[in-house]
Amino acid sequence: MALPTQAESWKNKSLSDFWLTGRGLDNNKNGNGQPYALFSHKLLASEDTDAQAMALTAILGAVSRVVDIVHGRNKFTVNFSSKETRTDFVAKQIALSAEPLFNPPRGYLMPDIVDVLTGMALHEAAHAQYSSPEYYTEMPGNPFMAVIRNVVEDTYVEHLTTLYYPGYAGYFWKYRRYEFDLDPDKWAHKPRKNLMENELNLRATDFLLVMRSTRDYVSRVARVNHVADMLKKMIYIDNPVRLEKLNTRTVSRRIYDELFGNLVQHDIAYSLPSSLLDYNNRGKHQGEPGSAGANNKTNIPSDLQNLIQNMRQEQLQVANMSELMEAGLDPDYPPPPPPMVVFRRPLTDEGAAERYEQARSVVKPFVIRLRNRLSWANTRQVINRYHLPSGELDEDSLYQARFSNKIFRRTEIIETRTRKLDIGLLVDTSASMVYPAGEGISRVQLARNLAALFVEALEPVDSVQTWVFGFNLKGAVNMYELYSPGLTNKARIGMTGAEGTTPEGTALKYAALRLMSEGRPFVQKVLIVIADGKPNPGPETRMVKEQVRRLKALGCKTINILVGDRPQEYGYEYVIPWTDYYTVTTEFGRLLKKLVEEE
Amino acid sequence: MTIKQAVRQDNWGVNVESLPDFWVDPEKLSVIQDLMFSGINVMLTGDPGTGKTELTKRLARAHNLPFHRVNVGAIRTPRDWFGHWEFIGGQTVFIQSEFVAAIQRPGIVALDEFNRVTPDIHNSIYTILDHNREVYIEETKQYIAVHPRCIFIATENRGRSHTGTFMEDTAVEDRFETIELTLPPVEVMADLLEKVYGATPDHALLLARITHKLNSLYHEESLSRPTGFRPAISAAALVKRGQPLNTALKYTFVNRFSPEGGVDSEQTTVLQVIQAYLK
Ligand SMILES: Nc1ncnc2c1ncn2[C@@H]1O[C@H](COP(=O)(O)OP(=O)(O)OP(=O)(O)O)[C@@H](O)[C@H]1O
Ligand SMILES: [Mg+2]
Repeated sequence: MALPTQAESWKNKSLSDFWLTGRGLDNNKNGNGQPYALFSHKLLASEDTDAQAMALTAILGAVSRVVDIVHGRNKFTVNFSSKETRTDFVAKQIALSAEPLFNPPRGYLMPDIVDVLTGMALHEAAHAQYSSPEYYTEMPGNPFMAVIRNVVEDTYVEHLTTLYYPGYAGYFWKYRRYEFDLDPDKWAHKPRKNLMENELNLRATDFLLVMRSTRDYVSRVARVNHVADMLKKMIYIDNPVRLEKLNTRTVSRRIYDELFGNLVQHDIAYSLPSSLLDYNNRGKHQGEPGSAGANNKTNIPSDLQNLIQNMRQEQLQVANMSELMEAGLDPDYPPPPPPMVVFRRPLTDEGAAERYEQARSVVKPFVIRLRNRLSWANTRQVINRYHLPSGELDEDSLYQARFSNKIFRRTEIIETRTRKLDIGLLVDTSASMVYPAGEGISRVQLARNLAALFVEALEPVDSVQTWVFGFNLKGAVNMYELYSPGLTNKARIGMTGAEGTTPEGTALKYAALRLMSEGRPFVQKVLIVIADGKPNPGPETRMVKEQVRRLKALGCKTINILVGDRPQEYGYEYVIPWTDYYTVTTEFGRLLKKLVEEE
Repeated sequence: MTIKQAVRQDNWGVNVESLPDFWVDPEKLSVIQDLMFSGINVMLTGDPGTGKTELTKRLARAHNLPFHRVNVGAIRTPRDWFGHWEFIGGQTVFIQSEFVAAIQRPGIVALDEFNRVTPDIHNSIYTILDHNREVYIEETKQYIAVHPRCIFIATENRGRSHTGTFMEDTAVEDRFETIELTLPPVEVMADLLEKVYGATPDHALLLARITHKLNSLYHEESLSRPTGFRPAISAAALVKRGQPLNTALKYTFVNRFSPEGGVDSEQTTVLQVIQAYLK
């Protein structure tokens, strides 16, 4: 049972904010609400479905992790789906009601809602973990028994989870407060005409509230309080191992007998009020999949639903929750919002491979050329010796085999020089890229061709590792991971598009961060920016210069390949304007050599 | 104690049932001893901080055996096992290694972090480790035979996060019987933290639980690195020196993980685990 002091602290404090805001353990004790940007519902109310989906995805991610901690290997996915919370044990899915988000109770801020959702999900997770199978499969003999059984089971799994994970007690409390205490009318007993029915319903409702309310509900019926005390004595013990052995079905049976005595006559049908029926249905634990579809009242529009699904598949990484909340969505938010950065791995569509293939065929003649241009970084001088009695088989001299055994050759390495390089390509994929870059070719196409050129040329070179990121700003700064040592499906490069605006400074910063953190230690880093010279005015433009300078200090070379009209200089020290493949390859090779060798 | 005393006091081959202040699964402990007293080399594997290195030392102590530990990671060329050349008084002289001395007497030779080097480093001691149990040392033109009561126990680091380790080749695997060490069960670990490292019972249990949970999340691939015994030891030490619990946890368990990714970062997961156990 929650100590009063603990409950007191849950009342006024969000449990999730200490990690939601990235403030860590230090601020754990700091309960007096800070003016986080997070405390805003504008985000969900905003028109931008992308932003909504992102917020929902981030929240789902957060909730799932808490649930994962309880589940261990037996992982369930968490989704928003129906108005009601449901668990599908076969498909291993927990569907959370998005009600608290879209219809937040008064005074509930975002972290409070995350707490409630976490509590709901944990409750379902607790059932999955600790309820025995018969709980889902058995149909209790009458609806009153079902209420008792559910109350007993709910109390039991929550307390058991709390014993193993004491720190999660608060989430259950928040969930129960939301569920049972915010709307007193929802659960209040509604008098019935039939006296017997009235008495049965009163006892059932009151028992439910005594056990589940967080407001120390006391029933007017002494018997109910007495029975509830009995149940508390059985369940609220300190030893989880002993508690696990408790047979909740037998306990329910006893509680039922005590609560109703011989009031219930089995040959007469009594009906439950709708709230109790609701209670019996809520969190319906489904045995078979599919049956959910029919009565799933979705309260999330399907396009949003799809977006969320996509984002989750794309392995959305939200750089920072509070940045997310600030991201350009809230016009009233003072100082211009620092952009949120989302790293995405776009899913490839059917056309992607073909587009890439097209790009590759265009640049094919220049692939070897670019590689040769970089040969200074990788030389290996060898002499081949032939007519040897051992070594590698020299197929060309096989014709001699009948006369001589000297049909082998050996390659001796005289000199090797490798300069390892980690090369990042940052490709502008903003809307302005739809403009032509030359005759008959758009900037998007050109940028894609160049990306293909670099990847094709460098992929076979052992000493070079390559990353390709696309970027634009649409709701958030999107960083599309198109190719990397860990993501070698080149068709993704075909996913470059043109939308949104150009957060060039931020993109530089984050691309370099990835390059630095994933690249090899002590290996020369080079960042190539393929853009059309139209960064967003203001901070993003200023930041380009800043970042280039910072990267230089860190030993990372930045080279801009300009695919648009030549703009006023805005920050790059080295710019290669697009002319043709031949010239650009040559110039690039020469420039890189100069930059790398000058040290 | 001298070597002679140790040998004279002959309880050679008598297994101990447990080790003071150190937990090993009893069955594994007995098998390890049976193997080593049968002249079979033992390879201890397991996540970092499961006591591999420590166990080699404790076994030596429990059996009163001289102990020699080779930090295999520090061996750079295949000949380093046997010694090195030095220029002394106008002459180059071969200085034989402690290892060569150690294998000629009874005792335990621990080959720590055996997979920290490329397999060619292993080649030169293959004949020591197999039934030949002898080696020809070119530099001194000498055959050296391994003492019949010299016991080899190697340790290796396994795991996704161990970079710079090399996969064993089968030749090596063949020469060892492998035993995997694991973290002690929660209660045992808590006990040790309390008894040996001076944590309060509450803290000891908390640290043990956090360690176990984080390590299982690693095995479920929710975290990128394992969590062994060490962070708990460090946290206990910090608390003992008067640091608040939160600070101790932050600098030991939390900061080992990356904060990259904000709410989706590994650090967040770790914080959530800690939250799960903190009242
Ligand atoms: N089972 C255990 N019982 C008691 N103490 C332990 C146990 N496992 C580890 N420890 C303690 O944890 C610390 C780390 O152990 P040790 O250095 O032996 O780990 P290791 O497995 O060799 O790690 P690594 O793989 O990183 O080398 C030591 O102080 C050791 O005493
Ligand atoms: Mg070790």
